[in-house]
Amino acid sequence: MDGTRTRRSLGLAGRINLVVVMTLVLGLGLVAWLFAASLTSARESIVDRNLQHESDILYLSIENFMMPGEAPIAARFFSEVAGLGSGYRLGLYRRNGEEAFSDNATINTVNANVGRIRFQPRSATVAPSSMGIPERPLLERATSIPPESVFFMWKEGGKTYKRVYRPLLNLPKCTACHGSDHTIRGVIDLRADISDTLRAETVTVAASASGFALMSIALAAIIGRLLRAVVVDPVLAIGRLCLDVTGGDFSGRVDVERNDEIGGLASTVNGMVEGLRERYELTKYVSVGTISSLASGQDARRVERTLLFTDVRGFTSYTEKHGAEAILAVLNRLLDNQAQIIVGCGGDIDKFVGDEVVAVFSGDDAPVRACDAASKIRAAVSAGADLYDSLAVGIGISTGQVVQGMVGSSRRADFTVLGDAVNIASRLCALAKPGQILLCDCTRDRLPSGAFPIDGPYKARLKGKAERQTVYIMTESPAAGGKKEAGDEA
Amino acid sequence: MKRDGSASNCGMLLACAAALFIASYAASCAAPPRPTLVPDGYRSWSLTTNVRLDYPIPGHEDRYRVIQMNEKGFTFTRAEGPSGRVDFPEGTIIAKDIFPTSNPGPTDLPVMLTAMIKAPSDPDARGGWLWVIKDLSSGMETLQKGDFCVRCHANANEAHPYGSKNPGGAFSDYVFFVPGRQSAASSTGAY
Ligand code: HEC
Repeated sequence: MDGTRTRRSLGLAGRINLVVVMTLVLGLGLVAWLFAASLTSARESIVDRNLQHESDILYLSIENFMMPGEAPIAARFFSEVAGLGSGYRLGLYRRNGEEAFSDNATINTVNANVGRIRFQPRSATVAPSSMGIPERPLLERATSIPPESVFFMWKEGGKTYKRVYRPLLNLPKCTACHGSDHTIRGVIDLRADISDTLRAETVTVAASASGFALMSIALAAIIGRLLRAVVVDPVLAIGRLCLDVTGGDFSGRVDVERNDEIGGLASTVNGMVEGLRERYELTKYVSVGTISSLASGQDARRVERTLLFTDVRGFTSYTEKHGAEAILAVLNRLLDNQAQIIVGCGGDIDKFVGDEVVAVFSGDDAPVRACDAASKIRAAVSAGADLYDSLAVGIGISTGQVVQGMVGSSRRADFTVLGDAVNIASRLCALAKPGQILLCDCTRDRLPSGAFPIDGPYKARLKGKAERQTVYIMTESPAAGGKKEAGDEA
Repeated sequence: MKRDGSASNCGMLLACAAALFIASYAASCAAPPRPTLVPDGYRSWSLTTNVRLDYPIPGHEDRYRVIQMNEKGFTFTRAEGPSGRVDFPEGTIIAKDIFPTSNPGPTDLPVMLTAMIKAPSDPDARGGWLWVIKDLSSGMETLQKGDFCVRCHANANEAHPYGSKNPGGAFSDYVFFVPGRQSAASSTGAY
């Protein structure tokens, strides 16, 4: 779970950046490594070649001093070269690892081989300066058959040396003095101080590596910037727009004027939001019942409903005296106010027919809520006489079985109600005087006693009904009582 | 999609680098194998010396040795006059059997072969010769590319303690026992 979260919080830009940085680090790192490696190997081969060369020269010098039997001159030459310093150190070792010229061992052998005292043994032998040669296994490799020059790194006294054990052969011309029982006499041990070179190399590699690193960072930053501007910001803007739309705000637009995929996506989203807005606007013209029936299926059902009809009294003559815009403004204000009250009381606007509102209430307390809505509408309309140009409404309410279902063609249909209760409510509405609310007896019977001030019963003749119907009037003040006729008190 | 694309780019880079490495290694390793340098029938060749080589010498130490040379080798040239310079023709093969002890019995076989092959234009030649050590039990031939063999054999071109001893220091083409010379001298060894 945690992992998912970290991943998500990395974000698109972060992830792309990560890949970019990784690619750069790997690629440039590889280049830096190759660079360092080639630098090192170039330096090594130069140092090794120099060492080999110098040891060759020393070898030939020693050989040529030795041949005329001038071993002491060779020894002096050797120690003088060794004392030259300047980064080079020099040693000469027998093949058993003892330092040459350090004791009388060789002198004694030579004297024995030539059968006379060729060299005077030294009275005081030079104390061996060290414990003999270091790195015995390398000495053994250098003096094995076939022998080879062995190069290696050596650290001493804070300095780094490249060191070589260069084998010396017991040549046929040496055998007269040194005997024929061995092939290798020993090694020249030569070392070059490469501390400075190494330091310079390290600095170069470090500098170029940090250069590469800086380049990686700069490139990553530039690419990150670019990605942000080109991809991430537009995507975030689209996301915000979608959030707004989810919250019911259809006014936003993504502002990406580009010819690429993101631009295409933005204009698609803009078009989609525009389409959604239009459809949302359309839902205002469709009853809640229609919309919910779309979700829950559109089968026709027989149900009990309370119908509420309102109608503006004298509207026809009003239209003859006023301009079209004024008429619509007043009518819309009137319808809007009524619709708000009806919805507030849990009713559903079924339709507006001209200046008429048809609303449906469902549920056990549908009659109560319908009557509540009716009395609120009457109060609101009379309180807002200025707003509505003193127009008033008549209201009819009826309760009974209706058939509810989709009515219309396959292209245009409404989810609406049909039945006697609908007709009765319509007739009651037509009968009502301005500001009057008429109820059928079914509605009145379902109201708790005393909930509303009810006057009646009255008998009224309704269009399409043979018998006179029982009708009640909801008064504005508590009922005055008495048996009266509804409508024209006919 | 984006992410996959970047990842595969990254992989491609690595693959390229790896391919580069492998290619460069392969190039550095690929060298055509040499054919056998010393033919098997070398023991039927003539000897270059009658000296019994069982005395110790550096380089081959005190093991019994027998030197034979192919026919081509015997067409070597020796300059008239004081220089007495010796030159072996290209294609000369001198093969020296080395026995395990200084005094082998009749059933003892040589364990090792050292050989010189005259091939002046070969990049591995030193002093105009290829220097070969052959392990007779495995048949493996090793070319000596360093200066080990040639350094010592350079002494054959000056006065030396073996065979004829080359007292005049004539150039002997790095060969100690040049046929037709050693009989005059009393060598370090015995006949
Ligand atoms: C330290 C001196 C030394 C070294 C090193 C040396 N040799 Fe020799 N080699 C001799 C001597 C001395 C002879 C003379 C024959 C003998 O006594 O065995 C000889 C003889 C030979 C011969 C016969 C031809 C001749 O010169 O008479 C061959 C072939 C030969 N060596 C091959 C080699 C090879 C190959 C190597 C390197 C692996 C080698 N040698 C290294 C000293 C050396």
